[in-house]
Amino acid sequence: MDKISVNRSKIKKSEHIFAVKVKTESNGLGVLKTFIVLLLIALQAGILILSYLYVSQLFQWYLMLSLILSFVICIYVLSSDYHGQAKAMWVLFLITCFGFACFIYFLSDKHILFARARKKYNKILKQTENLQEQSDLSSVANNEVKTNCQYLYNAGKFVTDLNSRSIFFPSGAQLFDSILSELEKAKEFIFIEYFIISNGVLFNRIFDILKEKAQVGVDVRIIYDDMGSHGTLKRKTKKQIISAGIKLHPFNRLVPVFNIALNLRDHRKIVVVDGKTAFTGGANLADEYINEKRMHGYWKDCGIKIEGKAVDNLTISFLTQWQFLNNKPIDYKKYLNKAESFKSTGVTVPFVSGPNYQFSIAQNIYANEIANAKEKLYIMTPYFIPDETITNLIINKARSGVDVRIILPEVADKKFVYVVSRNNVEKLILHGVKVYTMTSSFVHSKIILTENSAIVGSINMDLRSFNQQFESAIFTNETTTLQAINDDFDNTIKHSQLITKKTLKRNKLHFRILAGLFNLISPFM
Amino acid sequence: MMKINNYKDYDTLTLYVKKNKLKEIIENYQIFGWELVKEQENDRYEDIVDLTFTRPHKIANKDELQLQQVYMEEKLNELGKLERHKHSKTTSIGLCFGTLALAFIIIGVLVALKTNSVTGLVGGIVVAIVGVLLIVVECIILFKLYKNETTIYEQRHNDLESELFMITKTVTELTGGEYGQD
Repeated sequence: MDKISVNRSKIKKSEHIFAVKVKTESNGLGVLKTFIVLLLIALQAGILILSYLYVSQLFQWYLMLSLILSFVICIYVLSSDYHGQAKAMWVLFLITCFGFACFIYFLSDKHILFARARKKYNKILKQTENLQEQSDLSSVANNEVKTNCQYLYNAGKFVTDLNSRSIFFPSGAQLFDSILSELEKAKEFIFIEYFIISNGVLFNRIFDILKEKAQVGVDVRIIYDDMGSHGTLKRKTKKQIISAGIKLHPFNRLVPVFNIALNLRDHRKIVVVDGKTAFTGGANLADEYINEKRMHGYWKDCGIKIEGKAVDNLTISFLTQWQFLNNKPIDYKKYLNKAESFKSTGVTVPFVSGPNYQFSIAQNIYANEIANAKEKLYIMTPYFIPDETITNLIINKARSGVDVRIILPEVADKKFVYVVSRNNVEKLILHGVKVYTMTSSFVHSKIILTENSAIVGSINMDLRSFNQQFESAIFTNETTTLQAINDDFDNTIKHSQLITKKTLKRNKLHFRILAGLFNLISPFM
Repeated sequence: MMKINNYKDYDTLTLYVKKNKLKEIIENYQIFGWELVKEQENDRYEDIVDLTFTRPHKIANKDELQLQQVYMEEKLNELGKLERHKHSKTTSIGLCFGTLALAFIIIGVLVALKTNSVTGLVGGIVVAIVGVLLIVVECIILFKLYKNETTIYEQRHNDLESELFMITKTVTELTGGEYGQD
């Protein structure tokens, strides 16, 4: 301490302060500190060297093990029923990020985590397959239509009805106005199944009616997808729904229970009222779908209403899902044969699709529909990420002189999906496909229209809808409905821009690079 | 207020509008059948007003009206952006060159004043003159740029105004009202 004070006094006296060295500690303490620091450094170095030697040895084992396991899993992936691009992507992903990729694959593969659920579904589907009989299709003049009806029956026991009628709605607003007026008429049961249910004006309008109906003894049941409605349907609202006497069930909870793969989502949009009327389409139960909330410009959506015996297909599909979620047997017959017959100009086949069926019904019926087009093939979809089969079919149709038109949104909801969709669709322009983007709008309608028939529903033209999601749609060749859909295409094209070879985004290098990168993960989209 | 809470029969729309655009925005939305039911100062921003409109839920040509409204909102937003960036290039280039020229002048004057040598004095004056010249050149460039930007602005402004007029015309045809050009 003395030394310090001496030195300090020196500083005070000194003229050249900066030249004076000030000692603040005793030498003994400094030596001890230095020794401790050196010891710690040596210890750290020792740990590093040892761990390097140990880990490098372990790393060799890890490499060996991951190589063997990658090889085994890659063989498993290659022999799976994924399509070519998905297989290639999974193999690449498994080889480059083995541990993480394995975990993701484990979570997403429907054969691993979905196996138990599939068994359960099969059991339920077996119970329901004889509930309805297929109609006599001999009166169906068009062979292509007849083939599709037959396919839907063979693939999922979706019967064709010749005495049902349908009404097409070119917007979510019109669709939900019709749903509201039908809900008000309900006397026995209301079944609602949606991917997204969101708090808002539309929900309030529907909930007000459902509350009233539940109070007078109408059986009201709602299924919502837990991921789709995550953050949009508040917990408080769920409690209100249940306390109003409405039966509510989430599909595939986000809490990782591992009884069903997490990426398998219920994308269906179904409303069934008394087994007499049913609705499906592209629109979810949220304000943006009726343009009462602005999200991505104008929201172009659509829907379809059916009346008649064909409703039973959707009633059974809803109840199948309900039985799967509740594990309680259902007396299906109690809810069937409620509708009257109508004079119809064509067939109506409501159907659903999903990983619970042996084949991808959605993809196959789309492929059939495209293959059957001889004069025109109009497609409206928010996303365009099909596999090679569908892409080649569309190209062949365009090259064969079929008038192929595809309408996509101009405004993107998910930027990376939009880049891939746009890239895929622009490749078709070179083969004569006319591609339009609806100005300042997000097109969310999912429609395929040919000169003979149409499919309207929730099925996007992408791999998720084909392979991973539970979807709902209606196949019809009713003249008035086909005309209404055709008018919707004409009207939408009026508000759209035709993409020409000069306006291709692919002309820009940065777009091609981005598209190439995003394309790698497109099987996930 | 009754209409705002009556979500069964009425649609509601809330807008946050700059005070200087208030009249124009209200008029534009009224063409679409929206009725102003509430107007109040924004809690956070002094120059913003919160507007609440209502419209009967069931109206004719609703889909087309909604689509045209999106087009109108897009044009109005573009118009606002255009006005905000009316002379953005002139301003930014002017600021950059101006600062540079000013720096030259100050450095030149300081060098000339502080130096004891003739070389330093001459050097300082030269640097200051370069600064002055920069200002002259900048003025000429900025004048041309300003004129150019004004032309582009006026052209786009007129285009947007006529596009808005076309939207108004389409909408009034849909609602069965009357339209006119100012």
